[in-house]
Amino acid sequence: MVIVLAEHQKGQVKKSALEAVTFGAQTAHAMGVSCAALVIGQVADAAQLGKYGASKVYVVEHPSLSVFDPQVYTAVIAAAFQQLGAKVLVLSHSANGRALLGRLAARLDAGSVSGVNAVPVFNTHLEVSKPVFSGKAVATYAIKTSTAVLSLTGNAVQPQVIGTEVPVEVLDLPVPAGKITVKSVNRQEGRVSLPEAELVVSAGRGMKGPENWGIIRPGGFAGSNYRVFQAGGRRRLAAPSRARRTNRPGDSPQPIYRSRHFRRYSAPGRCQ
Amino acid sequence: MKILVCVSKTPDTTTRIAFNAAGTELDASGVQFIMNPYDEWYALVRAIEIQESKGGSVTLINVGDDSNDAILRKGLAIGATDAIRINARPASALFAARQIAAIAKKESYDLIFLGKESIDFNGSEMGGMLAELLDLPFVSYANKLELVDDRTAALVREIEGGTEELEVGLPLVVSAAKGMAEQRIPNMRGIMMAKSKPLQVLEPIEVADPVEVVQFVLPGGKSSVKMVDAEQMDELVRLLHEEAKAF
Repeated sequence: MVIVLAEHQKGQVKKSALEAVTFGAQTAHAMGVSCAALVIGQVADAAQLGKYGASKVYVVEHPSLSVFDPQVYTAVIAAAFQQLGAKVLVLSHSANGRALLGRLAARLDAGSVSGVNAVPVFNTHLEVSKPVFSGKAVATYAIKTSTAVLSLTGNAVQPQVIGTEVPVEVLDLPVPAGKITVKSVNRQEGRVSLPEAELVVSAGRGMKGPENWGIIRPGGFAGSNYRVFQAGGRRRLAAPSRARRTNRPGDSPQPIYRSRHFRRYSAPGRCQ
Repeated sequence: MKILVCVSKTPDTTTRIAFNAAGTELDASGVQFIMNPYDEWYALVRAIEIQESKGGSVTLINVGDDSNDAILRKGLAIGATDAIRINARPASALFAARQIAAIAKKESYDLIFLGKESIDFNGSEMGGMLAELLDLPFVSYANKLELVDDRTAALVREIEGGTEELEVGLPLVVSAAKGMAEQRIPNMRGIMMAKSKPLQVLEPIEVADPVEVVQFVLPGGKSSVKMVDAEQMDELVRLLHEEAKAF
């Protein structure tokens, strides 16, 4: 079985969770096993994970789980993994996923690869690929253990509806006491977060600073090129480069749209 | 305050990446290796700042061969007290984590620092692995750490779209992100003192590598630029929509 930890926020399943379930279902198909989703906490739309390939959705609810403590979450996820007899655990390559992956790999004595960017190949063992050297190369890893923990880079796999909603089953698992106290959570509301964005416009130096991102911001995330890479951003458009560009903030908004990693189109002109 | 800082050796950020003929290893010829910047600039410097204010020691630890001694000496020059190198070439994060955990279990470190990720394999796995092997709490991607008292730390952790403020009891494992500290350049006095600071070399314990890299591949070359006339805005929009799939 492949188990996918489906992350959620404010009671709704996140887009990255739908990607992870799609990835998990495709991995399970390659291995000839089933795929199940695991949700920690209360989520209104957990059953919809079945549409993306989960044959079952398991939920673990406990007051202690309202706070993200990697040590507590690791104990719960590992218990679910072992109880269900799973072979592969899929996480989102999110802040929480990165905190969990190493712990789970050590707890389960499993081979692990973080930031996977494609569906694995399975012969006698799993082979997975990920970008390395800050995106300058791609490495293929062979996982030599019978169990594996993977985290999926955001936007590497697009969610695919292949099924219908499925029943949600509550798992009764022991939940240890946590050692982390969360004093406050400070999130920017009303904006698309970088890992969740479907289209990222990467602002070059010509934009100078955040005060001018309004030119390219409407409806999306705007940020530095490095932040885009960190989040595994795809489908980027680069705004004016510093070379030969006369457009400056304060002038009429006339950015260049130039894709640095796909085909390049260079044309001075009006923004749309 | 006993602090352990895990450091790794990585290619310099300006390195032109190339691999051997089989595509299984980095071609190290002409490559300048450095201490992983996240380990050096943020984890190590913050550890030294805490040691300077609270007293105690900062121990560097690394898993690697003797070519890693140079980065350990640099860390000692920046201000670490002593260093340990486990004489093995790790093929996986879990192998390295088990080696370090075997050492750390014998000592009572109050804080274990490392960078949020290494700039070569971008794994972000080591911190969690170490914490689990040592049964300690772990805070990842922390950009701020202050000691509330000798047994409690207040941290700020990066999350999607914002930050979390946490309080955690010591001992603790922390992966450090940008903002945790400011880079320090070793001064001449530090460089001279580093030569006489202890650098202990230990043999590894027997553990298996659960993963191995079977192939490295360089991405395909960039496609050519397609120039669009300034008067052909409709054509540019069509190309962005139909070919680049930008919207």
